[in-house]
Amino acid sequence: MSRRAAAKEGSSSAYTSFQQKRRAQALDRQKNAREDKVQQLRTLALAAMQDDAEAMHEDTQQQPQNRQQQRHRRRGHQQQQQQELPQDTQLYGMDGVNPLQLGGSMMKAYFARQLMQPEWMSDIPQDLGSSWLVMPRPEGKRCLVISTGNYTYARSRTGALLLRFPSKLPGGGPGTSGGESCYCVLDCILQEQEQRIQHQHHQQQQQRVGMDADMAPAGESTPSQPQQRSANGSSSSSSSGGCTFFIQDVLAWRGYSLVDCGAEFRLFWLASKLQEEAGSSSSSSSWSLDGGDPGPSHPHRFKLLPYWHATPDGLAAAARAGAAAAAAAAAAAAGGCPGYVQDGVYLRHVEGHYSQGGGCTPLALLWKDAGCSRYLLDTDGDGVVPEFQQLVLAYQGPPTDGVATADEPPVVLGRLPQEFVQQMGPKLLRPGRLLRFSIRAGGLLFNADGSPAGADLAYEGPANQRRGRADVYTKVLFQWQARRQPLQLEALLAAAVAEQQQQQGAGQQQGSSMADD
Amino acid sequence: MAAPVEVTQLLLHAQDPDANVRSLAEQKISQFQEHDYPGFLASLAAELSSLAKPADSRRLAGLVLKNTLDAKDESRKAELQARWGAVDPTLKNQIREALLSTLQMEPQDVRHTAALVLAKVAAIDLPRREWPNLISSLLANMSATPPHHGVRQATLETLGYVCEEMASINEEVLAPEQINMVLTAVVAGMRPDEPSDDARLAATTALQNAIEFAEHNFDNESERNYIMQMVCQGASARDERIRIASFTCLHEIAANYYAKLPAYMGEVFAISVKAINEDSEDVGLQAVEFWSTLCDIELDLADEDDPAEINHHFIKAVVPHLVPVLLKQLTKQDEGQEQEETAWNLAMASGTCLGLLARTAEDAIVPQVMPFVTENIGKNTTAEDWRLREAATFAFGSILEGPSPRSLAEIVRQAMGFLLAAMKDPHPYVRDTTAWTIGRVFEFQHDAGNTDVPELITRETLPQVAQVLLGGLGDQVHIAVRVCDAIGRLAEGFTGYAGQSSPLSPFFKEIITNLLNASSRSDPSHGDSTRLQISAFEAINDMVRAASPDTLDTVGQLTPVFLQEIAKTFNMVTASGEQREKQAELQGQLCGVLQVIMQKLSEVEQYKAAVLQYADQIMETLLRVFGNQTCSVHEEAMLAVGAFTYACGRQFTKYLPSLYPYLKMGLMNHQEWQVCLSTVGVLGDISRNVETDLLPYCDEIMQLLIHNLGSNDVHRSIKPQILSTFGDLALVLGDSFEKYLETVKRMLSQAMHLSVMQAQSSADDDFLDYNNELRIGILEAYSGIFQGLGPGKADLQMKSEVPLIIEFANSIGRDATLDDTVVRNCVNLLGDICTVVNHVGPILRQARTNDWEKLLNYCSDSGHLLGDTEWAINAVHTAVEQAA
Repeated sequence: MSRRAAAKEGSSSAYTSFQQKRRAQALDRQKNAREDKVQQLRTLALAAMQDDAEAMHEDTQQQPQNRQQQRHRRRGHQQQQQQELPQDTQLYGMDGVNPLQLGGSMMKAYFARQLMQPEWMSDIPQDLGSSWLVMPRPEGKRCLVISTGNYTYARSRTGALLLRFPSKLPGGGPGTSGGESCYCVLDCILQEQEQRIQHQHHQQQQQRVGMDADMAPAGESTPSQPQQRSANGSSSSSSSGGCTFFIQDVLAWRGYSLVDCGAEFRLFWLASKLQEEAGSSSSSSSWSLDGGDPGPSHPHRFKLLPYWHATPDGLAAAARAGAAAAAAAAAAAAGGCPGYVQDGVYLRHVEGHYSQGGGCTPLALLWKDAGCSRYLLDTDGDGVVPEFQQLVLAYQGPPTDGVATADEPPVVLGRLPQEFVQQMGPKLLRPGRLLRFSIRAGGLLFNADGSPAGADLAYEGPANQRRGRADVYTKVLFQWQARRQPLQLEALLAAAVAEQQQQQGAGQQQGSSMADD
Repeated sequence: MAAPVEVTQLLLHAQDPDANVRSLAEQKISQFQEHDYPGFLASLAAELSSLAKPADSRRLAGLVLKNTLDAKDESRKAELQARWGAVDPTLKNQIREALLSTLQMEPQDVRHTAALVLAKVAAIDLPRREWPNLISSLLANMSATPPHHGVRQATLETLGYVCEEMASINEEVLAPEQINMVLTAVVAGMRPDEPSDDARLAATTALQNAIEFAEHNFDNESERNYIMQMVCQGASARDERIRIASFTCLHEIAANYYAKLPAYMGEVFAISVKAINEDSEDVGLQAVEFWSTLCDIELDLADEDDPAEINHHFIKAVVPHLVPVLLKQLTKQDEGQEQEETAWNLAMASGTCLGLLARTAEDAIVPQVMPFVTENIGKNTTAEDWRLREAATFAFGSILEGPSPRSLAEIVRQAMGFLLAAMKDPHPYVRDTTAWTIGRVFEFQHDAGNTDVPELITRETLPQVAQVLLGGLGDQVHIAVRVCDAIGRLAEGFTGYAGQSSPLSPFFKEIITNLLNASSRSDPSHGDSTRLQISAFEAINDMVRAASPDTLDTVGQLTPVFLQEIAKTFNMVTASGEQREKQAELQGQLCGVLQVIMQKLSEVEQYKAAVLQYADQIMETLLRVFGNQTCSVHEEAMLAVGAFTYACGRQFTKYLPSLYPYLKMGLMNHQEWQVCLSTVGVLGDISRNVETDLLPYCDEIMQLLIHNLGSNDVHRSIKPQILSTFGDLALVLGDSFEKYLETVKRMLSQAMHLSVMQAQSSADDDFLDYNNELRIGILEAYSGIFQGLGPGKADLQMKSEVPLIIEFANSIGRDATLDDTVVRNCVNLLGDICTVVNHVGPILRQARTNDWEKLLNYCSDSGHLLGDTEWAINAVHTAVEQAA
């Protein structure tokens, strides 16, 4: 009798009903864990897709992503969690977090916080010539490179894994010296192969080329050579295949953390260690670990970017470094040093530590003008500069309904009207939601002290949520100035000259090149 | 033509008290059946229908015959039915005639056997349109003159059994005229002037089975009135059995023709109240059950909320009149019934019915019951007043579910003090019901996570509550069991408590310690303390599940305690099968607690270490439990392994070699399907944690899974789980999964085909539920494969599957009511495909229908699904736009 069993239920509950509860709990756990796992990979695949979208639509210095590249990103994933992190995680140990214990998406977020975020230069530092270093900034994809456990991993700014491959970096490939504590972490710009070959072409053409390459994968690498494919970042149809990593900074070398050292020391350390690794026989100080054609054990190149003190000479050299490198590459035989297309310069304060954690540091600055960048102004998806300056801001949620930059603390540039918020509804308009705006006739607004007071914003539509963060204020400001009164190289030179003149007697020549050019 | 042979001796021997004689006879019988099936059938039929034979062998012949036509196991049953279907038509006719003629022959119990066999033959023949004159032959028995009571009784039984068989067949087998004639004959047999009580009882019982075919007759008012009149008159028949059967008929009528009831409710109320108040307990119980059934119906109606189905709200109307009748029954407790788990009498039935009335009538029940509660709950002037106190408490406890928490909140708050004090009542029955009621109070009125209702149990009131409950754990075993349950509900109510510390935290350790003591209590007054042990362990589980962060250290300390408890079980005496069973059950409970502890600790990163410090011991213990059973795998131990893997992560790899034999055994255990199902789930847990380290075992595992998927012996619930596990493996193995890909693709496309066909022929709810499980399995498998292979590989290997999958999504989109989980998984899969496969847009555009779009829209419009699926919706839109 069913009623009898149900009478005063709960008390007479049999063992089986408790067991059923545990089964259900186990099923729940499995269901959730399964979804988490699948979500990890979705995030990776999406990040790859989004990087494409960014390359095509937003960040002009980035290039369309080769589909084959995505395949490599995926493949590396299985071992990456176990192997990518060195035993000695002190370097990464921000906030006492052990990344080994983080789940996939958290791990990604963790890596996303590792790269130093520079500001855009809106006014010239007074100690430019004496206390700053300047380096050309190639077009390409900013990434964190980690060599450990006989593999080398490259991760994008969003933390997504781009490549896993063997290299000659210490700890980065089979046969490289060192034990478990032997690992390196570098801050690089990744130049993919097509990018180098095609870098002279028009942007839309590049897009098409990328797709062609994708549609004819069989000719490049056959399924019978999966190992080869996974190891080799690019096709081997060209004798000088492979990608190039332009090293712009170092976070750790052979297990020794450098993030708490000044920039000048870091770069000095890096240059001398690279030289050690390359061996004294190398005559070239534009050091490349593989020295020639990439092979199976080192499919990609590494190249240290030259840098100077930001004296008038240094600044001028840095601003034309890209053109010089391209000329040198053209002159050299196949297999020589790769050239690159320059996209401005990267400046760091000599004493500035390697700042991590996601926020921007004022001790690292980006600058460009029309003379050293193809894209002074941001372009849209079709490579066209839009009539009004575009920017992406994050919705802050009620009660203020503000829209703000990604700075810490955020800079609020406007507020959404009540009706608009209601119309969109809480479903679409969650706090943190990224929205695209344009700056209209009213322009950017400033307080008396020059601090931001807001902007004349027009809503353009939802932004790509996967880009992860809004624009930072200095980028908005730089683009704003670039449309009106761009900060020209001449202004920088003039400031450096003026500074030099001030120091008169002590006018030593510090701007000697540490790298050949 | 099969000639019958003499089987009398054989059959009599099969009932011989001597086991040797018996088994020899049984062996011969089954040999006969195998070697000469037609002869076997003919011989049994001849035996059954031969007046000259002993009644014993005739009856047994009938039962053996019946067993050649039917079996509990579905596949066996189909086999037997097919075998009968293939028998020579002449022989079949001969047997049918023999059965019909047996109905005419004395004695009555052989007629009864023939009735059973007739129904089984009818169950095979009628759907095949093979026995057209069965019904008319039976009806001829009813109209024969002079009437023969025994034949009429057996014929009515036959009609009832035939209707029962027909009800279990989905298609309509009986023609409307046949149904009409059957009903006429049955209802005629129910008339008060039917001279034979046995025949009238048989008719009333037959109506229970025939009622669902009487749709047409119930549409016709005069026919309906006549049937209802017969049933209601039966409720006051002289014979108690007829009165009971008449109320059972009323349950069936209410369940089938609820809409048609209004005209009869007055009379039904009158006869049921009369039965409850005045009739024997057995009749009264059926009368109470009528109202409980009506509650079930109206609860379902309210739940489904289908405007096409009328809800007459009989229960709301009847509450003021019925409640006093039921409350009176509550005081008719049997002395000592609280000790008996399965006690069932008018008091229990009335309390249960009161609970259902409360759930149906909701707030309206409160004013009807509360005066009785307040008047009687404190009564203590005579020795018998405990009945009033218990009845009042039971009534209060019964109405706690149903009325809104708001309407009860204040009453409950006031009652709490009273209830806590009543845990010291001199009468154990009162304490028992009080403990049950406190548990119900916690279950329905205490939810610290719900801010709509003021907190019932606060930091101020908890000390007293805890003190009383801890005291109750020392009371008689049956009371301590209810106290355990109350503690579990108390803990559960704190699960939603946010923050580092809940009000329960200060008492956490003390309560757990006392529960542990209670679990090991052996009570001399109560021979079996197992119930208390089970309840105490479950209360510990609830405490652990609800533990707030500041008590996790205490939870961590429980691991070695329970490891030791499991170790102790190996010292139990296990001479008999019963003792071994008891040992296995205790080990199951203990592994269950261990599982809950490990799962709780693994959820918090820094407490994984609390599990890991005992890792080797845990695994050794669980392996020992596995090793304790020779032919089965301990399911609870397997589930504990699953929870353990999350604490270990990849370190679990080192336990794989020793665990693997049991994993394999679990996957091959088709008999105990729950064990197999749990093992499949745990395989997923393991794969997620050890990832590629599972590779060396995968060939064999995949072989087992694929075998299970294709086997009819494997319970169907396991199959969707296996598909999901394919996804799990694909996800972690990546490229290494490729070698299984062809087989898995084939399995999945078969499963999709099956699912699409099922969706088209949309049968009952059970079928729809299963189809949704199957769909989730398929979708999870594909998501795992697409993401596991990743861009490139997936494009190369899986692109050809995409059109099939889109058709599958279309089939889901055509559902009348969409299932959230299925839709979410499906949209995410479409997102996966668009992310890792190139140029999916054109395929989506070219699909035969675009029902898949409904799924995206469903997610966009649904607040709770959008968050999980937005990325996928974007990915699909991007793919489609690019194709434009």
